[in-house]
Amino acid sequence: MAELQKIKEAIMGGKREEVSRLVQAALTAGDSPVEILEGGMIPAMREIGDKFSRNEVYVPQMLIAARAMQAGLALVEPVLAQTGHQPLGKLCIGTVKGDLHDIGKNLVAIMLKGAGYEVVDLGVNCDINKYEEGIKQGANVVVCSALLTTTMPYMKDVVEHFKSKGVKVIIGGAPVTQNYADQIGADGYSEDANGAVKLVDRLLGKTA
Amino acid sequence: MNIIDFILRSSETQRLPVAVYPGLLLSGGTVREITSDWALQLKAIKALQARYKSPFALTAMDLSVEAENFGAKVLFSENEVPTIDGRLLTNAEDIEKIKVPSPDKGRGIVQIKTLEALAKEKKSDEFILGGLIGPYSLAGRLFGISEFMEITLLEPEAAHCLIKKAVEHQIKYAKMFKEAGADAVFMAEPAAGLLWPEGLRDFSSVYVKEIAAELEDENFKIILHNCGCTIEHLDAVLASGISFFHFGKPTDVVKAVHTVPDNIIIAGNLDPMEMFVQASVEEMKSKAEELLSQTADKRNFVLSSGCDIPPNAKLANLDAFYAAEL
Ligand code: B1M
Repeated sequence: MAELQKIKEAIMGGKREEVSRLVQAALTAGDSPVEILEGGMIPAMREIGDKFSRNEVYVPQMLIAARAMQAGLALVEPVLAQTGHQPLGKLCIGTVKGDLHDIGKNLVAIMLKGAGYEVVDLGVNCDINKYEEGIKQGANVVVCSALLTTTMPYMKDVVEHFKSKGVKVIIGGAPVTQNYADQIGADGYSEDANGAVKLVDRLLGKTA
Repeated sequence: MNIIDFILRSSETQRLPVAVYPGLLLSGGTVREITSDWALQLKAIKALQARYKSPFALTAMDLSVEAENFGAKVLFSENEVPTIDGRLLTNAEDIEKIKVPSPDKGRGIVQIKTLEALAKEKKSDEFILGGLIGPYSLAGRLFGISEFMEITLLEPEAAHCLIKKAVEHQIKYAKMFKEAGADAVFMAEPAAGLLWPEGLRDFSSVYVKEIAAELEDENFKIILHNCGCTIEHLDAVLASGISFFHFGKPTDVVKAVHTVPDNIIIAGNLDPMEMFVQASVEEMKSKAEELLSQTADKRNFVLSSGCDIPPNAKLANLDAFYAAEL
């Protein structure tokens, strides 16, 4: 459908108002919200995520695409909820205690939302209690981000805390490596935001 | 002789770690004290000078000073470098309205006075460097780094307007360093490293060029630090037209120094955390020696940390950095 292609392009170009207008028009015309999401919005985030992984676009382009995606989601989500559509799974995400970096965490969150997951964003400087709040809200996977070598060790505490509770913890951020994830017994690691989606798909046995 | 000629004519690779806070390990005191009291900052720098006999002395990298001067709120803690809390500006109207303050107020004076005291005692073939923030990064600290990257794309005119105000402030501030006796300023532009290459050129390098045109002369130079960019940004960074660049971990400095003309200096890039805080002395020595050997054919390379070395660095590793040899 031509409109879906337009929605996709508007998201990739970070055109927030255009996305709102197009998505609203599609919904008013009676298009299925699932189709809008799966035919236009999700492919947009996947494609821009791939370009980011290949250094063809940079952080600012990702950030504006993420904002445009949010604008579209704000319209689609309530309609989806009415139709009883189930998200693929529910996760909570936060940057660990002592760490205020949130750009990467925000990108991971939006890519996961874009892929069809419900995401509880806990913000920055999250201690175990904060992650617990996410679990109380129904999340069954904890996504931890850390940008500082000094805050990264806190991920071990989070992993250990949730191990006995059957909650999966996955980790990432610039100083984090697969090796480190293995060492602390995390349930997964990914290098970038796109990888995070693939990781969660694998972990929860979904293909979005 | 200016700092660039001094480096190019040196028979050995010079070393210039971005280190002031580790001086606290020798002088005592806290980060909070040396970012608010020039005499204590001087003491930490002199303690490092006495230990390493380096021809270079640099004032502390406190990248909250300028934004605080504009009115941003700063969070202080005893042993962490001060950082900006929240956003001072949130829209184009705020940007339009904000007035450029005079840099001779606030904690900028701490840096200037420290530098003045160092310059008074400097010997020949010693170089005193003042630390300050770059224009794009200053604008980012006022508007929020993430949000400023967004308006860089979506409202470029507003972004340029704020960067121009940052430039105006930094020209005045850098002049104060120059008048106080600085041989160079070390201008940190980390946020610009997240931009796409043309964006880095148009929103940062163009302005660095403008600052350099106002300030550089035979005896005063600008060193541009960018710890976020990669080798793909090299041409865009070079578009600033200056001759001294300092890069961080993401940049392949060996490739960079073999790419640029021989009169352009490239410095870098041993990671502050990995090498100066966490590595063993042997690891530090071997990594530094590897970099020295990979650049041995180049006089325009300076061995350095990739960014500011934190206060919890190990002095033994700093010793190993200076002791590393070809
Ligand atoms: C499954 O779960 C997953 C999976 C993947 C995950 C994941 C979770 N989380 C992230 N990912 C992955 O996906 C994302 C998208 O692909 C990626 O996310 P990233 O976050 O890695 O990437 C982002 C998209 C872009 N990258 C970034 O956003 C970070 C950029 C740099 C420049 C940076 C920034 C912008 C900032 N900083 Co800071 N900062 C630096 C950074 C240097 C650099 N060039 O990298 C870094 C990270 N900072 C550093 C430091 C030291 C600090 N910073 C500080 C402050 C700041 C600002 C506030 C100024 C700002 C943050 C603004 C914000 N709102 O986030 C201070 C700390 C404050 C605190 N307590 O947190 C301060 C301590 C500085 C100071 N002296 O005050 C360094 C860390 C050194 C270390 N290894 O420990 C640093 C590498 C700079 C340097 N060269 O030294 C992946 O890692």
